[in-house]
Amino acid sequence: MVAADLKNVQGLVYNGYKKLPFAAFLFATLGDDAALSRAWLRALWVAPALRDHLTRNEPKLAVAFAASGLRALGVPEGVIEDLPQELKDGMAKRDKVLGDTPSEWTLGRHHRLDVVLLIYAASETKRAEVLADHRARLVAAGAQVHGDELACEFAEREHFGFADGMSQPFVPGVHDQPRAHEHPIALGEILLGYENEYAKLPASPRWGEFDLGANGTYLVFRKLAQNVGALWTHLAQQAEKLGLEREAGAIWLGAKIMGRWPSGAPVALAPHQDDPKLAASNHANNFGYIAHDPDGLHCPIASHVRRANPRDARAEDAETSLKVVNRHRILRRGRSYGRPISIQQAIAGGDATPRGLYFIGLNASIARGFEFIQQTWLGNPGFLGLAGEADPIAGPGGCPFTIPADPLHIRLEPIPRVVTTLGGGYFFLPSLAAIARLATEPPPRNP
Amino acid sequence: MWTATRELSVFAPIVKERELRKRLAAIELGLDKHETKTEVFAPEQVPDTHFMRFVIIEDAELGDLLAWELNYDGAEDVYLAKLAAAPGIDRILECCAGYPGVADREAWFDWIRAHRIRAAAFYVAYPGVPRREIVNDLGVAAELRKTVDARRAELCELPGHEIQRRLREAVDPKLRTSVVPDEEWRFQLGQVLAVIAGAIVFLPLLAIVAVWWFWALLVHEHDDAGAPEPKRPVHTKKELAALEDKVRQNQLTHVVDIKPGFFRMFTIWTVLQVIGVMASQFYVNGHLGGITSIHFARWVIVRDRRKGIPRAQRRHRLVFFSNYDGSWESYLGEFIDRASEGLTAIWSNTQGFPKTRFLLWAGARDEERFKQWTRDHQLVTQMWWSGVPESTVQNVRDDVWLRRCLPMTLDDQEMTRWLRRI
Repeated sequence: MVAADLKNVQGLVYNGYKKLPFAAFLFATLGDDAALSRAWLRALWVAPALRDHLTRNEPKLAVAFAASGLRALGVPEGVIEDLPQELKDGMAKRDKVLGDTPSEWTLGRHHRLDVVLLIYAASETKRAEVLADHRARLVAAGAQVHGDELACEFAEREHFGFADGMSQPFVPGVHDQPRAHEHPIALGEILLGYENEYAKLPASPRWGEFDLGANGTYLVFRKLAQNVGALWTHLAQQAEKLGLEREAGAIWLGAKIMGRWPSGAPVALAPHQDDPKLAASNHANNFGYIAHDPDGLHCPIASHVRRANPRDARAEDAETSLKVVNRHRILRRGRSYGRPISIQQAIAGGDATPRGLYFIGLNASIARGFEFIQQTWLGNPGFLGLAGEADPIAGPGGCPFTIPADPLHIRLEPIPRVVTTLGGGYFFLPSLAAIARLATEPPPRNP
Repeated sequence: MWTATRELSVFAPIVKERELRKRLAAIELGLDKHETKTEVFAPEQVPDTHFMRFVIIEDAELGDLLAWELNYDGAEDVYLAKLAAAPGIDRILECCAGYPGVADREAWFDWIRAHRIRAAAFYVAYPGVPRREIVNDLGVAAELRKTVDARRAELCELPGHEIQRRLREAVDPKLRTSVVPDEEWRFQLGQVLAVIAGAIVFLPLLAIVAVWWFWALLVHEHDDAGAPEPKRPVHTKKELAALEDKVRQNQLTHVVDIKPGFFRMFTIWTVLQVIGVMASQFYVNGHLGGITSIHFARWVIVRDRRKGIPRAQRRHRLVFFSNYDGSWESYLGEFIDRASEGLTAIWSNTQGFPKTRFLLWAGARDEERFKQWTRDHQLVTQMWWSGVPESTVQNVRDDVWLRRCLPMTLDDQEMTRWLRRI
């Protein structure tokens, strides 16, 4: 097992900074003067927030660049050319793969998002301070800075009311040790410069002799609006139609479409009611679908978590399936925005407050990681033998949802679209050494 | 009665390429904008077709070919007559050399037969299930589901066989019975036995050939340059990516030169024969060596028959047509994850394939190289048509089974399974 060169990796890769509950995401379009932009990056490179992973409570920082951002820093076209196609295309051009409508975006539609600064702080005041500082630095470097994207205080639950981040892949060499029953994946699935699940070193962008990709990764940023009221009122309606009690029935249906209960307890193991003890225990990830629930009588085949990580259910046998699934795992570093709302309030109709998720994913291949999961597992209405049922949460909406039951299945009426992409981008998250290289002035050319 | 699922591939030199492109584009659009007076060929007007494609195989040296891929039910003669009767077929094929037109049926049949090349290997996910039956059964399944959704509370109170009886009554009688007699696929024991018997008789000879072959393989693989080290992750031509925006089903047309010389041609032909037999005899349950997403696929060897070209310089080509479920990325993933040995055994005999060991290993397992090589030899398909565009292989197999079991007496276990499939 190869250990990652941790001192050289940006902290976000192996730390979700849950202890720093206030996050902000600063997007900018760099100015025309590459030398000024490089000077800005040199100053950033020495900033403790980017380099120091050890001190607690101090703000932390991560920086990532779109292909256009690298260009603005003066990276030659020959180097840009060798970047992954999806990075060069940008997220908006991949709309067919992702099922997006970029003409309706609010983030990254009117502006080129060259760079994203991810800021994590212990308090709101501290965050405001750091944000103002970096905003000023960018402006001084001739960049155009876009509106604040402020996350709400970190909570273990996302806005629909479910515990988030229950299942993350374990990456040896990055994390100390796996949580109970987390599946280890090869380091090269997350970081460039290491062997991946095919036992291969994936292609990494090079700048002359310098390996620009090594110890870096690709960051997917998506601003996803969540219509919490629409989801829960629909489920409450469906519960009543099935003759169930409105609130309890809605929560049961919610667990069925999510695949986990609000506490995070897997429906595959806790089919009848929520089990917070199970969620908090070492067994929250100790299950396989084929082993416990092949027909989806507990956890429906079409449920969100079963599609997003099919575990042992992707192939005929469990071993093959886990091998295949491990080639499509990503690290998630998402944060929510907007005021939280309770499930009860949402069932009562919700409110008009904008809220949602800043989805942040890290992977060494966006095509084989994030895009594959979005297109082939979540967006695909024929996944795992289903017919005409895309993901109930992250899909295009308007699909019925089958709840396997004996003797006959229950089919929910089409669930409206509850998650809408408001924008985002694909970014390269370089190693610290690569940041230094990007910030370096090119040697003066010989006449 | 057994309705065979068959393949037809026609390869014809093109004489009027500009018109051909325009007319193929018109099929995709469903209308001919420029010449509305003549009829436009429409694939759905040829009955009993599962999948169809037209693709122009460009080649400066060998000349451009129109390839026509057909997957159909029933006897060849009967189907050819249906093709000839399809309106507008002349408008496409008249762009090819020596085309006689459908008016002269005999000449037309001769022309098709002269330009057809039999697939070296052909795979069907649901052999013997005619398109008419699939369409019928998709309808039955939809009606069953609608009925269950509307009457679930009432039905759930009843025992399984009574649910089945009421569902049977609810379905339109026209759809209820199959439009073709049901006959399960039969293992063609005779064919397999004949191969084994032949092998025993020729065993001594086979051993000598095997020794020569293995030695030659080692030499060839040692000298093989393989695919270059990828400088960057897999890149796709825009025109190819634009065709693959379909969520449910997609197609792949792939054309690559077979490595020159007798050894490679002998090997690829033998491997394809073996895979062809396996595909028709063993892989009849919806998966090809573990790949579950292919509806129909075939490999065709297109020989270089130019006169006056030395043997070693002939460019024989391997053409691969596939009709599959889901995204390209997932399809290629299945190739690598589940069937890399078989695919490597075929394609390691073609130019530029990632370096292979002992015919089966490495090769397609080299993920980035294999994907880039596939992209490099993939062609833009001008016209592609699916007879079941909304259904995956699994959907087809499920719904056909659902309908076939509708009139049957099922035991408890089967009944539970049947009800769960609705």
